[in-house]
Amino acid sequence: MDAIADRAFQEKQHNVSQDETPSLLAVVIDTNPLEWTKLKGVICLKELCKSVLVLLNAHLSLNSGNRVAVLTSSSLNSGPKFLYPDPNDKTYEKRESLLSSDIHRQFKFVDQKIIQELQILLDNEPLNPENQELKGSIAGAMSMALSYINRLTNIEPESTGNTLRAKMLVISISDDSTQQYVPFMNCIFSAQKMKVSIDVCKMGPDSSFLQQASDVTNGVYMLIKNVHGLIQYLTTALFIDPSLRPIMVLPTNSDLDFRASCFVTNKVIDIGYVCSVCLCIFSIIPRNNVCPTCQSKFDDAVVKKLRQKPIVIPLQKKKKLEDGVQRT
Amino acid sequence: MSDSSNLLKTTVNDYLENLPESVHNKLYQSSITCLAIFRLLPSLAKFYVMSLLFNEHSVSYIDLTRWIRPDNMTHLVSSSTKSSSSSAVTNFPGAIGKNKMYQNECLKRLKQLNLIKDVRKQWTNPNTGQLTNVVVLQLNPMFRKNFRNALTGSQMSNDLNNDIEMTDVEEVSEEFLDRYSLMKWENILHFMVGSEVPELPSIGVLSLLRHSGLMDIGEENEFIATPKRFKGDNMDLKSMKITQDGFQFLLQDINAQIWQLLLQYLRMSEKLMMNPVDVLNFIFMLGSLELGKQYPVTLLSDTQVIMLEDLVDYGLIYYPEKNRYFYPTRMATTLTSEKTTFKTASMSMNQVLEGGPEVKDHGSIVLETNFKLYCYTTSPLQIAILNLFVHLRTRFANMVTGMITRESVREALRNGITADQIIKYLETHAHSQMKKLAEEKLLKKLEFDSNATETQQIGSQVKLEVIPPTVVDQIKLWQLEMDRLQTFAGFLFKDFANAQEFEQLANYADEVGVMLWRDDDKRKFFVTEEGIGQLNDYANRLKRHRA
Repeated sequence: MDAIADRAFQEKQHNVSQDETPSLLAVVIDTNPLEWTKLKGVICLKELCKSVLVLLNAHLSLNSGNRVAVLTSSSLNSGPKFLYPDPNDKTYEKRESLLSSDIHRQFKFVDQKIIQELQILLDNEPLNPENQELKGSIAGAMSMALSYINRLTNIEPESTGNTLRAKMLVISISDDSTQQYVPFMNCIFSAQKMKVSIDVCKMGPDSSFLQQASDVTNGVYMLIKNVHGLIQYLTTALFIDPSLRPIMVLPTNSDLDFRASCFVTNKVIDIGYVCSVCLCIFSIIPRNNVCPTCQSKFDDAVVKKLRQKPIVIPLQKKKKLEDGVQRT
Repeated sequence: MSDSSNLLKTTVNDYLENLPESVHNKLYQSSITCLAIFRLLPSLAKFYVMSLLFNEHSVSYIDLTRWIRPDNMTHLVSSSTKSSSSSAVTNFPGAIGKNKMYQNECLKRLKQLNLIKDVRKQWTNPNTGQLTNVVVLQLNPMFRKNFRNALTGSQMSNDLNNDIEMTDVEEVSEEFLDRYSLMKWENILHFMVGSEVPELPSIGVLSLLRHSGLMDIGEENEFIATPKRFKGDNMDLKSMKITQDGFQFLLQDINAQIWQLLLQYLRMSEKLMMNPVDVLNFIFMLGSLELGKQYPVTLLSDTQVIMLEDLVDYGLIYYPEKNRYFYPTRMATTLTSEKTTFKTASMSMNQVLEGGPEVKDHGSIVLETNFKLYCYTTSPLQIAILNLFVHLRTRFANMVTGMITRESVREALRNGITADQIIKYLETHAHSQMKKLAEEKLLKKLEFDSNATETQQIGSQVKLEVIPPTVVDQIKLWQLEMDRLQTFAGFLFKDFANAQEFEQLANYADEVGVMLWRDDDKRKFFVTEEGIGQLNDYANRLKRHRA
């Protein structure tokens, strides 16, 4: 009887990777015009867009329920912005559901929309960038993407019953900006909590912030040196579906620099001071006893203690010994 | 919930895999078919195809296997996070683990579809200069070309999707199409359940139902129907009875049902000498069409025009004016989609049917731990299906109530429905509140069990329980009551010369654990198939020893 009972109650081996819930891919593209000029001759935004569009098509082709979102991070004219889908365009949302069954049309529609929006963005850029302040940041675009992900994965399913997984791809070319440390870390940790992995495709200088972002969220960090093979990177290493993550070896480097950089001097430090309010890190005590990031005032007594130089107290034993010597 | 879509996938895949290579190559000439076939692959296979797609060089087998985490790693994680390490160990018997098996399965499927090929290559190690044989995987060149085209959009070979403006045609609304297709399809299902239908399904549908073994002309039926027989075969078909397979068919979701019939259609079309490539391309193309748009018939091949008329019967296509243009319905456009998207489709279908704007869920069944069942539905079809395994009590304006009883379940089991199917049906149609409750419970369990990062590892061990576990277990127990017989393949030993010989052999069989049954009085025993070799060896040894 035991054997029979076992047979009926045996659960089929349930493989995690076989469950194919549709996923959302949110791409954040760094469009900082000042940084792009630095990469002149290596890669231009147009080439990047070509590869990204193929990536988006590939993602949409994985599963008919898959969705994409594309955001730009910063420009001189406007801050973080959705290229696709347009959150203000209500009539558009209706059209998408209409098109979702049509793969080819969906590709075309998404691609066209992104190119158009990007064109508008670039057209509005001022011609002489002097005296113009850069608006927006990677962290800003990432938090917008996370809010969108949250809406699609947590709020919408309540009404439609469709579950969705999500991942984020950040394509960055700029250097880390310490000003953004706090918003950036907030982004990372909320992504971790939402179980959204952040993949990073980095061109130009290496970024320790983004490395930490992908490490914390179980994502992939890739510093791309050979930009001609960009599409291969995008469709291989940076293309791992959330459902496959538990069984795959992620192509990311394990020796990663966790050291934080000083907010004042921008130096990477081993030991430093930490602001008790916003947790930002300094190698020196900031001027006026005010945290440069959150503007909170430090306790004077504490700072005074910190400023104290260690006093070298002569050892008691030695004195005794000297005494002894004098006696004899 | 994913099981039924998996089931559908395996049936479609099985069919595709058994096609000859030449047919595969012809299929891959259409980029839409490439896309549709790609979608049917398991996720890891998709990843492999994707990583090979834009790689100009061929990739060695070893490189592909490196992507997969070795099994002992997952094993370590699961045993360390779960307190009972023994259960984790039993989950991974043998040298080949779950991940490796999954990977092998994916590669096997890719090979069967002729998507990748093994090529042995000589490769010189740059460091040592030694020649080694490397297994290299190559993507089917035809597939690579057309799938790339599909993704980059460089060459669209999809004639039907080009914008064709037709002004002189009537506008057909989506609601109309939904209503139309649902009417056609439910008519077929109603016919199967045996309820009164206003209009019998066409002969094509009826013969397909018979060929697929879902319905059959009952023996006694035939006997009674003899006076009518001279009226022709049609009469016979109309008095068909549902078979065991048919009951199982009813419990699947619409998409799986359509595919099952379409596959049967494919098999029949081969007998009718229709070109399978044409037929398959047409089916896959339907999935890429746009709902609510008309398409001219002139773009189709002759075979496809014949098919078109057949598909009208299933409600896949609305074909108002012969030989001019047709409209695909939602059932057609979601053919190659995942079940989840289809669910939204059927949701809107329900909405159309019931006319209520607030109907949002597909699921409508509430099941309590005391076996009471409430179902918010007005669809006579769903009530008929529920009636297969639920003892229905009362019917209200928008709901029915009933009990799952031993008798009702046994009745279903006798009809060939399995406990698993009942449970699956209840799960897929469970009310969203039940699902939400179950998810919350699961989350709590997960948080209790582990920290956030390892949930995916744990996820396979803690299950989502949408239906109360007591009910699930009870239904399974009722099934056990039914099948009291269990068959084993094996060997019977009898006619022993003396008691000692019997004792020796029987005791040995007991010790090595291959004994299934023994009778000391009659000197007979029965061992499993695997144990016979061992026992023979032992018997020979005994003989030699004695001699």
